[in-house]
Amino acid sequence: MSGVPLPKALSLSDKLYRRLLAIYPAEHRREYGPLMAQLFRDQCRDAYGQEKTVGVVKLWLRVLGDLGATVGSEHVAEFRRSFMGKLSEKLDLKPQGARGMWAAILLVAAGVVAKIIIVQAGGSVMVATVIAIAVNLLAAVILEFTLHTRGATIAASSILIGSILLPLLWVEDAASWLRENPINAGIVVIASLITWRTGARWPLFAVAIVLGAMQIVVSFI
Amino acid sequence: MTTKTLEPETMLPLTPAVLHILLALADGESNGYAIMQTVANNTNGQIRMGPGTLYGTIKRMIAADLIEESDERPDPRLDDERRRYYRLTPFGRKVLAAEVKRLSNVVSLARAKQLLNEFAARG
Repeated sequence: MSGVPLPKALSLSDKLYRRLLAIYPAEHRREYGPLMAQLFRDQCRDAYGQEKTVGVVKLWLRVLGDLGATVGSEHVAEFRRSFMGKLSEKLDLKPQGARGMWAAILLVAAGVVAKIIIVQAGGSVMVATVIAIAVNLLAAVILEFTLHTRGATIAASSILIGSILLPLLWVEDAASWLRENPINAGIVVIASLITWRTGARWPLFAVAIVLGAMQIVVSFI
Repeated sequence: MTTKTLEPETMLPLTPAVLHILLALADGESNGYAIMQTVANNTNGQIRMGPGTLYGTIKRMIAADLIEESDERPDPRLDDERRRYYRLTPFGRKVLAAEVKRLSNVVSLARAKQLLNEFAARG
């Protein structure tokens, strides 16, 4: 490094970007934080060399978009690596390819059928719903193990959200649930659009968890 | 990740970021900054990766055994020793070849349907 002082726009940008790196998961930051900061410094230097401060502002606009698009997916990836990885190791689970997908689909179907049978037999709708959600979540976990080596985003997320919503196939439940929560359908559509547009799966995961929790709460009311 | 038993075709199609990083490394090892510049040049500036996208993708590519870190430096006097260099793995090279072949088939199909002439005529 030379002893020439950096222009203020560059030194400020460098400091700010290094602060912003704190929002990435700790492990990612430890491994790649210094490299990301160095790359950003290089990009800043280039941008300043071409268009002075205007170039740095343009770079910031791009980098903020990059930050927004990658922070969420890194946190989800970190969660999957730490939680799913440990679980997979403990249970000695391996990716199952097509077999795993079929197992998940059959489980989802079993959850729906179980719910219909329980309700038809005069059982509690709440119990049936909880069973169906549990079975569907298990199916979603199997799908995760099936698809995670491919880094698949849309398929796993879509089926996950689908598995949460599938118990609503029981028409009376679906009608009352949607009536009580009219905004849910809109949230699902927006989350799906974000996923399809960006490839990030966190919006659907978040919606799946919130909707699943809401469904259980509604069952108790 | 157990890519030793995976066929290259199971990794396809590649995302644009992965494809262009593989292409950038096809000529030899390179560091993050050089990869980013090569990708921007190769795509006429259409793909300009930020630090988050570049190193997030590199991390996943290492996990998938498509690339690996290299211990060698082209010339330590000419370069910052804190930079990390990456190179293709044999599996990564096979995946790149399979993807290029797949894309080549798509282009052949488009050519057979005379779509390329249409685009050229539109200028």
